[in-house]
Amino acid sequence: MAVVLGAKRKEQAQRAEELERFGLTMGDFSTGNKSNRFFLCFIRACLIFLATYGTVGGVVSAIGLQYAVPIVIVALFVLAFFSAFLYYNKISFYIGYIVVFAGFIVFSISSYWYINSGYQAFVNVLYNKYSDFFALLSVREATEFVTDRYVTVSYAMIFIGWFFSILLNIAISGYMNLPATFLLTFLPLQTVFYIDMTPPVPYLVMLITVYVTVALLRRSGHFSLPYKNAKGEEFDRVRKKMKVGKEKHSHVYLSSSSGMLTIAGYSLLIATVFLLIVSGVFSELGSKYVSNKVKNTTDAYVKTAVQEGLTSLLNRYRATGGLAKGRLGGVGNVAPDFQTDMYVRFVPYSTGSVYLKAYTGVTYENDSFNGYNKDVSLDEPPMPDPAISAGGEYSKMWIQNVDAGHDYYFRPYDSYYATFNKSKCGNVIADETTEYAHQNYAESFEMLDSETEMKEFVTGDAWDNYEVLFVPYEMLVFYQPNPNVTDEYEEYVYETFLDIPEGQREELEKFLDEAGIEYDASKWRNVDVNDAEAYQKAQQERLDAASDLAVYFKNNFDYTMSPGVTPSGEDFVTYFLNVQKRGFCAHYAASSALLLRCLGIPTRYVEGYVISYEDVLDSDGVEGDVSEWQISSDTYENAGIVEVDVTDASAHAWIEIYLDGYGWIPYEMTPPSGEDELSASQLSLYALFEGLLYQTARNTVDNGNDDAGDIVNGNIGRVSGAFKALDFLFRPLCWVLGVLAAVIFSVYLYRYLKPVIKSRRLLKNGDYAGALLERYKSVPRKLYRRRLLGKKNQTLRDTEDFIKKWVEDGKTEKEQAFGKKKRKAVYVKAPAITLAELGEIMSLLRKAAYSGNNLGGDEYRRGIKLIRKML
Amino acid sequence: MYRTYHPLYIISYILTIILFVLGAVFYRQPLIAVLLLLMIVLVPFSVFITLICAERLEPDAVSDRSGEISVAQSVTLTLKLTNPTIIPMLNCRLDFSLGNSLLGSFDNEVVMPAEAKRTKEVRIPIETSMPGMVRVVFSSLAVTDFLHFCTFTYPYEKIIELPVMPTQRQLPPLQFTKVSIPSDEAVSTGDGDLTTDIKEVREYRNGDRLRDIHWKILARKDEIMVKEYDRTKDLYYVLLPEFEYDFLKDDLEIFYACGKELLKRKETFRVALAGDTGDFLEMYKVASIEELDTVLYRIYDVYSGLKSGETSQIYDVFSRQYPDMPGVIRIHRGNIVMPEIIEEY
Repeated sequence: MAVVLGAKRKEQAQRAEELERFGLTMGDFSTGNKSNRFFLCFIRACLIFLATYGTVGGVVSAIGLQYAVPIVIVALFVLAFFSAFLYYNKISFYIGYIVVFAGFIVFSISSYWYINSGYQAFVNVLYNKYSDFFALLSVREATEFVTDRYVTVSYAMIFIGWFFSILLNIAISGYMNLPATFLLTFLPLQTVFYIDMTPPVPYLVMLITVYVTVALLRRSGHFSLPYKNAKGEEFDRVRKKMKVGKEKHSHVYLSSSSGMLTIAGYSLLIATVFLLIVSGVFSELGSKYVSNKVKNTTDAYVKTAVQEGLTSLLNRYRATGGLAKGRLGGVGNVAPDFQTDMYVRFVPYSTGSVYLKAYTGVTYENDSFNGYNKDVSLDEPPMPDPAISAGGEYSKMWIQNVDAGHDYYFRPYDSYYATFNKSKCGNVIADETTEYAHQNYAESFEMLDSETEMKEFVTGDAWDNYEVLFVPYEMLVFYQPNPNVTDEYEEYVYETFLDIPEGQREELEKFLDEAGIEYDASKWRNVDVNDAEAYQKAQQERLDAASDLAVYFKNNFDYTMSPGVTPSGEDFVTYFLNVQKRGFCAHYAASSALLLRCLGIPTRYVEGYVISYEDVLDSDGVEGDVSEWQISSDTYENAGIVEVDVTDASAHAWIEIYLDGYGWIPYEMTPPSGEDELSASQLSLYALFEGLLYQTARNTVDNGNDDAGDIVNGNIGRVSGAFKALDFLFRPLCWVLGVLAAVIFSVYLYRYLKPVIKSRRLLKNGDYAGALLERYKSVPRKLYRRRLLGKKNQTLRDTEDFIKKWVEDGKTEKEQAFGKKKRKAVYVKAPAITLAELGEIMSLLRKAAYSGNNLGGDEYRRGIKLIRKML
Repeated sequence: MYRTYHPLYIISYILTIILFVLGAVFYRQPLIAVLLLLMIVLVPFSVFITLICAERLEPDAVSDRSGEISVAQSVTLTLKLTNPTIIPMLNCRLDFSLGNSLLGSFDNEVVMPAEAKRTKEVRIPIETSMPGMVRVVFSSLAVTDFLHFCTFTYPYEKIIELPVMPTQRQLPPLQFTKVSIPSDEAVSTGDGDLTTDIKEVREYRNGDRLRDIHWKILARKDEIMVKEYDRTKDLYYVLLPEFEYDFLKDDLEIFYACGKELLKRKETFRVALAGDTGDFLEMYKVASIEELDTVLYRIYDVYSGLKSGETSQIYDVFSRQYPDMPGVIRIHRGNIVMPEIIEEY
């Protein structure tokens, strides 16, 4: 009150000063209309109600929950009404807020179980929708104390709506703030939009109506309530001191109820029409989930939260690709950062993938495959590598290890020599292998580069760089024994690589039974290697067992980079096989290794990097002579030397299966993921909008796989992704711009045709004078539009005078815009009409205008001809 | 019409659109995409609709009093803004200055919405405390589009003048002395018609003015006779108001009271005012209250440039032209200074 009195006294003093200084003063401005604060509050209440109900009702309706619609509507409107009237006057503001909060607390306490149960019902349904969407097998299940969802959901909606109406009242009534209103309503809607569910169109209309109304009112500035005093001031007055010592009084109209109502009405119209247009345009094609980087990142968290509650987000960590070194549990989500882990230079020799092996897992315990480090286990007997001679084909590879981990060396299969430019690294290939290679493939060693040549490959802060000689060939199995395999080694293999943790065999056997995968280990063990047919059959049986398992995984398990973590106390492999049934390469490799061991097939878990063919295609070519890099009878077609940027996304896990008398062969167990590249229909914006306006069956394929290590997937679409990401906006933008262009074109066409049509109608009635005058009307208007005339509607005489002077001078100056600084004059050339013709047309026009309808057809035609010459 | 763009609003809108484009591209959110399209559609809607409607707006301003008003009398000025279109809440701004011609003015802007198909009226009550010419000068009507990208300003030139008359003041009993000024001197407006005393009636001669024809005789006797006036014996009072900024109100009141008093005595008098440049005299003959008002309005114009501490230089100019100052009623610093007092002064 003191503030109001102070403001009044200040106003009085300022007016007294004005009387003294200027001899006059202005009182309070008014429109003469009775200020209707009640109606203004009512309109605000309507906006708050639309925003609240549009949000709460939209979310609940989107997931298909039933509620008492009339009761919720009435309750939310009453609450919105009450909230809006908090601003009615000072008393309602101070007392009203106390009442609101007291009522809110009382309602919360008295209806706690209903509200709680309604909320839990909502969450349960929502989580189920998420589970369906992401194909999750387990979801959080909350307890509903009151099971009548129709009632409880209504309670919960009123509770949440009450809360929202208080916040929205501040945003709308207090400040008419669009960003705040948008965020308050947009964020809750994300709970359903995230999984491609859409609130029914009426709710969207309500929300867009509120957005447009708030935006227009905020920008207009006419949204405040008139001052609550005896006079009911309708204008806000601000006195400003100007730079030149003058004073400026700004009088801003606060608001009018009719104006606000009209704006709200127009906004409703705009929102409805716009959504109808959009729905009409985009209703033809089906909807598909469109993958994107943001969702790929957030999906993992969402899934974890859905499965294990929000608190689960607090005690998880992410992996960014790279080697796991056999550590398998604890990673709920792999999100590669696509940073370079190594550069590899070689001559491509296959359309398949090049595996660079590093880590070998031997024994499995405590969710980890413990393996060798670079110092080969002393217990392991020598095993020559390559497993089989390659028949005179050699290749070399340069590897620069940037950030791939320096505990291990990465080398392709069947490599037999490695050289390093840093002596401390030592030699990664067993001496026996190198010795064997020296004896048999002496010519290949001529390809080795000197230390100086290798240095050119060293850039940045590479820790390792080395050269490997290897045998390039496609991953095929040769059904012939390897003379280098010793009995001692095989004995070691069967002792070591059939190991399964205690108590886990039963679970694995049960799984294999259910999957129907069989392998008679005793039958196919110790087959005579000299019996080619039996030996081949034995090897094939072993590979078939692995193949059966891979097919089973493909058909029954899902690939995902975000499987969620293994719960504490659960075994990584058992949980994956029995509960999770979704995971990335490490899950499949580790489980396969144990399952095949269970069948009696020596298997080991391997980690490393995979260079896919797509990586090769995306890589940079390097100048050089291919013959210095490869000795081959059949050089790969069109191959050159390439340098591949291998990122952490290329890290991978697979298994190696031991074939008796032959050696280890790599085997891929990870099933392919969904299509990573967007299809044409997915790129279409139709699909995007289809999701908004029409609820259809959705493709819930999880596209979150960026693990290029999976052979089938590859790493597709990274280069063109940015363009494709923008492409989806193209078609609707074309539609919108097209509609706009059509509207503008129609307006201009109408303006052009209007006088023609009107004059034709007059001509039909024989009114030549009227028709001529109708056609003439465009003359002063066109001159005005060209800024040659100051007024749009000039008299006949004024127009004549102007054109006459224009024709006499040959040109006329374009009028400068008023209030603007005078710029260089622009002259416009006079029309082709002569002064005589001008006089003739003017006399015709005067005759038409002032002498009744006494104009003849010839005169009309002559007049039209001359009017055309005037412009 | 000229356009003024608002870069801050435009940039902020573009940034918002970019934000929504990024949201639509990277988050693939249909609602964001719909709002983005809506934002794009709203731009031409806002600008072109406003431009089309702004041309059709019809501003007007009227005062509830057309004639003179007295000091402290309230006047209501009514601004009218007619919007014949169906677009509501066009953001309009009417610029005008308001002031007393003798004291200065201040600028005003009225920001109001033009409602669809309605005439919006704004009533502005004006109170006065000083005589002078209250002048309301309208300069422009500016219309800003809904998104505040552009303001279209149209000239609206209208002037409303309301003369505020000095307050009635009772004068003490005064003995005025008439002054005789030869007609062939600098009294340019004299020329015989300054008095109604007819010297003789004679026959018409070539060159006589039509207005001097004695129409009654013509009507009665059908003879063309001409009235001839006595041009030498005209005696007048001359009011010499010396306005000083700090005594302006008193000076005006005394001047007006003197004039009225003389008219009450059925005396025709003259008023000496400073010319526009201040170094020559303007003499006005006053024979009626209307003529007195006209002179008063002229005073409102002539003395509008006075500043605090300044006095009009009329006394010096007058004394140079008429050194003996016969019969002059001098108004100085809110007092009437009679000739004998002048000598003492």
